[in-house]
Amino acid sequence: MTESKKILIVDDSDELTHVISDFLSMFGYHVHTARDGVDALKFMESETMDVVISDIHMPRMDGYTLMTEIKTRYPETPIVLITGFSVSEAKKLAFEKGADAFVAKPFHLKDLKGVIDSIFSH
Amino acid sequence: MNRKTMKKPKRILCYTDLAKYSSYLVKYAYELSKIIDAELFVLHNVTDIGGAAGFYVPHINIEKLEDEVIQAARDKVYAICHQAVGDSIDAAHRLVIRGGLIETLDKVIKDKKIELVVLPHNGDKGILSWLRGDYAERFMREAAIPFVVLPMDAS
Repeated sequence: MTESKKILIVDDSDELTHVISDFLSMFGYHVHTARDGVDALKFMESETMDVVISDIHMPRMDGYTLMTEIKTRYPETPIVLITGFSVSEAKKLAFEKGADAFVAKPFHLKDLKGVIDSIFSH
Repeated sequence: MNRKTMKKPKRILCYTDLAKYSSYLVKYAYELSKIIDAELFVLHNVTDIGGAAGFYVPHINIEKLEDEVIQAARDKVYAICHQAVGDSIDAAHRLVIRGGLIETLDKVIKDKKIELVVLPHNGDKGILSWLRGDYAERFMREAAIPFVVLPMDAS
């Protein structure tokens, strides 16, 4: 069941977080958003998330640093990293640093949902 | 005492937020439409991200993603209607529109000459969470048609 699953989307593009949020909400996910790693960590102090989806390139704190912090503080929380920059190297680095999944931009929303569904089905 | 009686609505609009109880809402609206012999429209609004058309997000075509959201919403509205009443509500009566919620409701009410609106109320969030703010006040002041608000936690 996806009804109560909580997802945090971290990206400095309001347009992108809005569209992803709209899409995933339709399938019963409870979606929150943050503009960067600093905001995300602050938010997670008060709310437990079931999965975090984060862009890699963001101001103040990038996705790798955010992932390291989350893995330290909340080791059970799965993390999906997304980027469109230097995809093959970013993907390699993401998995080396502990990402649970990696999504390259551009992506289809249904594919992103497929990745999330897959994480929750494990 | 001068009492006014409400005339039977000829066209009903049922707004769904696609939440899990939506098929109950649609079923109620459908049965009501049959009882009073009215035409039923089912509507969902996909929130417009406000002038994002042409906005540059690296590696991403926001408009294409928005189209995906619209298509997913259409599929969801179809699934809800189908679960509620089979194929009784055809595509022309299942509306998915991108825009501001209040403006969309306002437009559909005018375009389809709606005379009754059926809305969900789901406890914590309820309709107040989205029928709030300046638009809501204007909409409710100008709408001049009756609403039926269904408490979905009782479904």
